[in-house]
Amino acid sequence: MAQVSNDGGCEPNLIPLLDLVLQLVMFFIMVANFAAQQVTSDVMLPLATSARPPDPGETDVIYLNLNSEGKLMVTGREPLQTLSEVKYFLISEYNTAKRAAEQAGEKEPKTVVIIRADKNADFKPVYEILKECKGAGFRKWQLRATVKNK
Amino acid sequence: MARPSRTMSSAIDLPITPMLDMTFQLLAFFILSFNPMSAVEGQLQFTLPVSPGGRLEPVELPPEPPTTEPGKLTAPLTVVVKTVRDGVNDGNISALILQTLEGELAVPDLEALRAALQSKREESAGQLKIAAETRLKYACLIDVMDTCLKSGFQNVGFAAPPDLGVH
Repeated sequence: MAQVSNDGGCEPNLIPLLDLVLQLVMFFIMVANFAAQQVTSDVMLPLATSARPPDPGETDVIYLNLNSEGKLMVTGREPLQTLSEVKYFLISEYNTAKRAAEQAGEKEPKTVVIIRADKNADFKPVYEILKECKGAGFRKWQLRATVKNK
Repeated sequence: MARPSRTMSSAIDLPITPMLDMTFQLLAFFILSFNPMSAVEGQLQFTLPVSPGGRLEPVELPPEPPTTEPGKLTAPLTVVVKTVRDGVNDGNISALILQTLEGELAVPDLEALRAALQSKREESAGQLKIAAETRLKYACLIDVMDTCLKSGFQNVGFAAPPDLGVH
């Protein structure tokens, strides 16, 4: 509510507005998913009724986004054009994960490779990336899809 | 020197405006980074084929030959998914073939595949491979995988595409 000051000016009461905005900020802080920064909205996921909600406990993950042309997009990098670039990237990621696992006293890294491929992409690049993941040493992976109501 | 009187009004004037500015900036950041799509995203887990000794297969995957002959099957059940690129049905499913150790069975659609898979689930111990052609649209592959998972198969994996190296 506006208040009338002694000099006759009108001062809006900003405190209720500040309360409201702080509540909005709190809401967005609660629902913020920083892992989502690794995914891109350029990828239109296919629909699947048997898709389960992602396990929030899996924090050691690598997101591989494949666009409709089959190009691999990784956060903070240019799209990887060739298979040799993909291979080099996956091997370097695996070596990094393996060093971290050894420091934690584990034999093998528990990194989960999450493949988010566009629904209009061909199967060939997906299969090639799976093959390169296996060749690099990764042992756990998931495909992502949009959950479709049964 | 005149000392300020204690009776003077000593109300503290908090600067609300800079605080509000900062809060609006925080609000803008969180609104822009808000991604509600992640709420409807789900995972489809699949497994690697395990060799009889219990260890995973060797790291290097040799290009597997086309698994069109029943004797060369690497899993008790394999679903072969064929596609066409004729300008109309680009990347859609053109044929579904269920390969077992006894032979092949062509199924007309995904519903028929589901019924056929449910009847074979016991004898294959829940193991299944999908051999999809390389030009198959990924959405169609997920449809097939979805059907396999709904049929009760837990170990669904991928075989080498039958046409790999042909094109």
